[in-house]
Amino acid sequence: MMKQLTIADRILITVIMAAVLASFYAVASVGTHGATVFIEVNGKTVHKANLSEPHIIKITGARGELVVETRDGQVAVIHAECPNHICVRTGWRSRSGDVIVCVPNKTLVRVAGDLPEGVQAVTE
Amino acid sequence: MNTSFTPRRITILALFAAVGTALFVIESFIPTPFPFLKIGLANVSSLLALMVFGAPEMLLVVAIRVAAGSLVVGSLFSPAFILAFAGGALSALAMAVVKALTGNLFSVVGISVIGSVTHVLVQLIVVFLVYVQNPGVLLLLPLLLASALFGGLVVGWVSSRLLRVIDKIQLQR
Repeated sequence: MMKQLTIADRILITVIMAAVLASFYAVASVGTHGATVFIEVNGKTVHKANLSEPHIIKITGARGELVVETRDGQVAVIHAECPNHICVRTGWRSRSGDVIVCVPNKTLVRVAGDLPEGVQAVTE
Repeated sequence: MNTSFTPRRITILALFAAVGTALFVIESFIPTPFPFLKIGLANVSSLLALMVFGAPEMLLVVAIRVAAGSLVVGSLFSPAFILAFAGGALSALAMAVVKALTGNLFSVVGISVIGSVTHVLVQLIVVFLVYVQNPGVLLLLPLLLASALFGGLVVGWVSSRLLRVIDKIQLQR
């Protein structure tokens, strides 16, 4: 078969392979962009917010209070009542899948991607 | 364009449509991780109709194959049918138009790839516009394109082998 392929065929196949790679990179980069943040205390989701909007959220953790801020597609714990402040030192997170954890407060701040969780394309 | 529907032609086209239907049904039984990752072997019959006879004959074979196939598989008038019909119709049109406009610039394989990629893109657009407005479906694009390319190449290869045999036995007479 390789011999019967015309020049046009080869160009076409190359173009499509390039399109596959290009769309793959496009999809991969969109997928990592965080869009919403879930804040969970003791395993239960207590708050959900949009990363692109400026929010200041006060959370009551197991040990004390935490203040979470969202701004420009990022999220950070800006204040927490805990001994080591590892959560605060984690700084700003924006990628989907990122987490900021405050263990003493049993609090988890989770960045989720653009897509509604559990979306399933139904096709035949 | 010589499109006289002699009894011989009608019979041969009917056989093409029948083979296409059979291939479609058989392929629908092969399990794939996603329902749309099919090779599209039924398109061999459409391609052969196009290369041996011409565009009108090909469109006829495709129409019959999609209708009969959906009837057998049980998806007539379901969303799956609309998708398959839209994809099949537009891809057949695309193949016919490209063949008419460019003649022998593309081999059977090239035409087949054009058809499969068009089919997949049309289905994606229809799904997005009509069924699931979630842009998340666009995430499937690389996978769809890759499987379309692969399917198109396989179908094109099978068709080219068959065409050599058909040439020998002068089917188009």
